[in-house]
Parts: sequence; C-alpha cells; structure tokens
Amino acid sequence: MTDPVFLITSLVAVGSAVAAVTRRNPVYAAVWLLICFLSFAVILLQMAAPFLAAIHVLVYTGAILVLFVFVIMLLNLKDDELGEEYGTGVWAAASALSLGLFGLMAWPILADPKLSAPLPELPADFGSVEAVGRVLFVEYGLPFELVSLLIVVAMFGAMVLAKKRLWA
Amino acid sequence: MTPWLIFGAKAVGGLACQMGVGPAFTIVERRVAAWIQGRVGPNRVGPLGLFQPLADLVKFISKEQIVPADADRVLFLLGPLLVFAPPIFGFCVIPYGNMIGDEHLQIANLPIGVLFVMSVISTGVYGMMLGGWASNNKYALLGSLRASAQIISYELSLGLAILIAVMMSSSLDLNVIVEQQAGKGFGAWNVFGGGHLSQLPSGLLGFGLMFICALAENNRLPFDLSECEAELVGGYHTEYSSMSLGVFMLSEYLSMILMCGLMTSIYLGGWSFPGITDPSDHSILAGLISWAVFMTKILSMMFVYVWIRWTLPRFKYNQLMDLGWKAFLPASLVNIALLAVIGVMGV
Amino acid sequence: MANDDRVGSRDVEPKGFLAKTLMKLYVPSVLSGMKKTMEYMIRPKATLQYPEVKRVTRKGYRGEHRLKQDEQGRMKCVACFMCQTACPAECIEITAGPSPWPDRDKAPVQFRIDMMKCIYCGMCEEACPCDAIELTETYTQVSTSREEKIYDINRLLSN
Repeated sequence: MTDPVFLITSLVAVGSAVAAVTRRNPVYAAVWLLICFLSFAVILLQMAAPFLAAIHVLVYTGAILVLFVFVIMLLNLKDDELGEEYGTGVWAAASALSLGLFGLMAWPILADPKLSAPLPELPADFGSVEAVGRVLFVEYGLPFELVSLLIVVAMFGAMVLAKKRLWA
Repeated sequence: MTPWLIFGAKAVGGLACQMGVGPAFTIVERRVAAWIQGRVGPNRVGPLGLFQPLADLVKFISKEQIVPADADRVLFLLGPLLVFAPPIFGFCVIPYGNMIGDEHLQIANLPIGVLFVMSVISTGVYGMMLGGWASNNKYALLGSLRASAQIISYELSLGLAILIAVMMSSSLDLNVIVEQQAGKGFGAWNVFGGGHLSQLPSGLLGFGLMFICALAENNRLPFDLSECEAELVGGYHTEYSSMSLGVFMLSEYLSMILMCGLMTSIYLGGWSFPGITDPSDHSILAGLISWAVFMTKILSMMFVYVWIRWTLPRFKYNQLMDLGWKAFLPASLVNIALLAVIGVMGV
Repeated sequence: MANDDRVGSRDVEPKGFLAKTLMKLYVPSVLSGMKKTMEYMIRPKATLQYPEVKRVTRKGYRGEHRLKQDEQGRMKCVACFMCQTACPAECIEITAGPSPWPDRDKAPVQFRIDMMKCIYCGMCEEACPCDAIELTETYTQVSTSREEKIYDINRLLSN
C-alpha cells in the first residue's frame, strides 16, 4: 500500500468507476469507463502482468468499449429521452447492495492468513507471453478449447438473430 | 542523472522522427499530389516551398477557434487531443536505429512492444468518435460512426497480419524482431520469409494485407470514408476550426508514421539494410546511418501512401466492409494456418 | 464485383490460377493506374510561374489596342469613324478636329476605347483604311477603377 503509483491509479480507477455509474449522459459514462479501464491496465502492469495489460487495453478499450460508444452514439439519446432520475432511496439501496457485495468478496481475502505472510518469489517469466501461453494452451488446454466452442456457438446465435431469413 | 539524460536524448530523438517528419510530410503530400495532377504545387514559401508547413501552422494558430453553440464543449475540445496522443505514445517502442554503445535507439524497450503498439492504435478511435459526437452535427456523427466501424473491422485483419511477422520471429519484442532480420541479407526480412524460403508466400501475403489494412486504419484513400468530403462535408472534423483542426490533420500524419514504422520494423527489417548497416557495429556513426536507413524506409512507404491516395478512387462503404470481413479476414486466417503448418513441419 | 469485363483492360485472357486471382483482386489495374500516375509525376508540368514567366502569345493574338504613328511621329488616324462604325461592342468614341498637318483634313482630338466593353474582335483593325489602329499582344493591364479602364488618346498612343 506504500507504492504511490498503485495508490494513485487505484484511486483513479475507483473514482472513475463511481463517475461512470453516476453520470446521467451515457457518453460521459463511457468516457469515465475508458479512464477506469486504462487505470486497470496500469495496475496490471504494476503486478508484473504486461501481456494481460496489453490485452486488456486491446480488448476492453479497443473493441468492447468502442462498441458501447458506437451504440450510444447511434441511439444518440436526447435529455428528455433518458427517463426519470432515480430517487435518493434507490441510490442508497443500490450503494448499500454494492458495498455489501464488495464486502462479501473482500472479507475472505482480508481474513486469509496467507495475506500477512511474506510474498512468494515470482518465477522470472511470470506474466510474460510465454508463461501465459503455456498455462493457457498446455495446462488448461481442454477448458480453453471448450470456451472457444462456446464462443463459436454464440457467434452462430448472433448470425441466426441477425439474418432475417436463415436459408435465403 | 546519466540514465535520465540518456532517456531524454532517446525521447528527443524518437519524437524528432515523428514530430519532425509529420508536419514536414504535409508539404511532400501537397507537392506529390500536384505533380500527379500535372501542377507544380506550393513552391513559394522558402526554398522549394519547404517552409510551407510553417506558414500553415501560422494560419491554423491565427484562426478563430469556434465551438458550435450546441456542442458538448468538454468532449469537443478533448477530441483532437485523444486523436493526437496515441500515435506519439505508440512510437515509444519503435526502434529507430541500431544500438549506440549499450543503448537501444528506442524510447522504451518493452517485451510486448508489438502488442503495445496494437493496443495504443486501437484507442486512437476515441478522439474521432467523441469529437464527432460532441460536434452536434449529423455529418460529423456519421463520419465518426464510419470511422469507428471501419477501424474496429480492420483492426482484426491488421492484428492477424502483424501476427504473421510475430510468428516468423517468435517474439513480441520489436528489438528482437528487427535484430533477427538484420545483417543476413534481404532473405532474412520477414516480408521475404524471415530466412526460410518456405515462408516466402506467407510473408508476402502478410505484408500485403498489413499494408492495405494500415491504409484503412489510418483512414487514408482509398478508404477515407470517414472524412469523405463529397458526402460528409469533412467527416468527424466538419465542425472543427483553427488549431484543433490542425491537430486532427497532424495526427493523421503521425499515425501514418507510426504505422509505417511498425510495418518497417516487423516486415522490412527495421533500421537494417544489407550492405549499408552492420548490426555488430555499435558506434555513433553506425547508429546515425541505421537511423537514416530507417527514416528512408518510413518516408518511402509514406510516399507510396500518397501515391496510392492520388491514384485510386474511393471505395463504397459496403465494398469496404465486404473487403475487410469477407476477403482480408479469411485470407489472414488461412495465412496463419499455412504458416503454422509450415512451422510445425519445420520445412 | 461489377464491371468484371473492364478489369485490367487487357486483350489477353489471364491464364492460370494465380493470374486469375490477381486479376480478380484488381492487382493489375491498380498497378497500371499507379504506373500512369508515376508517368504524370515525372512529366514536365503545364503550369507557368506566372508573374516571373509569362506565356508567349501566338502570332495574331488580339490584346489591347494601340494607335500607330508614322515615321515623323504623327499619328496615322484621320478620324474617319470607320472603326467606331465597325465596332460591334460600341466601345470606341472619337471626337474629330481639324488636322494640324496639311496632308489630311481631320485628326482625332480625343479617342476613347472602353476596355470593359471591348470584346477584342479586331474589327476596328480590319476596318481602318489608314492602318492606324492595331491590337497588340498585351493582355495584362491592371486598373484599380472603372474610369482607368476607359483608355484615352494618350494612353492608346503610348500602348
């Protein structure tokens, strides 16, 4: 917790995430989400995972968020089409629920005795492309192939939905 | 103190490659365009018109900055900056010369250089999208929608084309990729198969695909549909004026330089040229020669960009998308499969 | 894609798979287009650097008028009004007066041509019986007002 870079990036990440949720204009929400994703990438870099950081930026900011912004811009909602603002009660309930969820996840991690123990020494190639690739394609080869199968099925589903007449 | 000095020198050198060449290239673009059209082109400001970019700069700066009345002020002014930053950021990992002493001529040596450039390129689209949306103009919005759809479509084929070179060099480190191609003749260049004759078709196809996808990524003719002046006035920067328009224009050239730098590094042997550079010579003179070779390669590729721009007519939007998804994507996938089979068989 | 018959515009049919594929991908047409633009790039340019280099007018070019003078420096015009009559644009306005020389009766006191009206047809030159007016090859005379564009006798004599 003493590292200032980690402190700043995590504060930026949390702050921009809150801003992304609370902004009323969807384009601004997307911009805050962009900042949030980029600070995640910096945090990943700090945790000796350069490959994951690059892929995070490539996939999340480069593709997924672009699609979000694309759809938001395509709809281009006016202020009066955005609907009623939620009341304070709803905000409070939502905040309490999210904080509760966060606590539920954070508590077992913080209570873990391994946390206070000294960190194990990382292997030299930790987080490199070779290490990630070996784990992904050798150690977890079968789950990886199953996931790719799942994605192919999802792709076919999208095609079926998008095509008006399937056999035309 | 010394590491910071060295880093500063490298950063200045790297920025000079990009920020110096970018504005200077606008005059080349205008002169070449004129020559192709049988004109002479701007030749009044300074010798051969070489100071024209300075005159353009003065003109851009001295014009009034107009923000449309209903525009979203913050995002409108943020747009040009978001387009401007990524190409400069991405150029940090391009090696622009051979080692001098123990120092690579490269601002930052990342083990994932190629991925870094790709991820940086992919964020460049935000400035166009947000700028176009914030202008509160239908043409600008359409232009930015086209730009974003085009860029995310071609990013896939571009990534796969880059992957071909990465597979040949089996590294994501741009320094390693360049050094593997250096000092072993033209055959070692990845475009000619990276030292294995059996990989020659893959290299040629990969380079061709990457070149065309780079045209599309940079919104250059024949793929400049996002700023297609006939239908969209000026595309996403319709409402921009003064230096913020200038920044949009300049970042187009900067991202061209980044793209050409990346292509040169991973396919065309980077700073090496058989017979001119010696990879084992780490003196200052050899470093400067290798830098000159690198810049010559980048400038020749950009000249081809300009040449293509004034030769080919613009594609239709459906043709563009068909080409990207139905021709380039399958071709790159087949290319990767082919290369993988060749690699496994060890021919 | 459309217009397959025009692709490449070669007389010979491509033979073999590779040639056909390249033809389909517009590779030959793109290359021939780029060859053409390269030809234009290195060919001499048609543009003249105007204020420094002026286009040489061809013989018979009809520019601004001049009133001619004979060997003794007398103006040749005898104020016969033939040019004024012949002018289709009605831009010539002559005021006649008695001639100071014995060999002719009249001479112009004033001779005005409105260059804004003139259509540079050369009819005045053809109509003149004394070969006194002619069109020169001057084509760039700048004026800052309409009045300056009405040339008087001195201007025409010195043209």
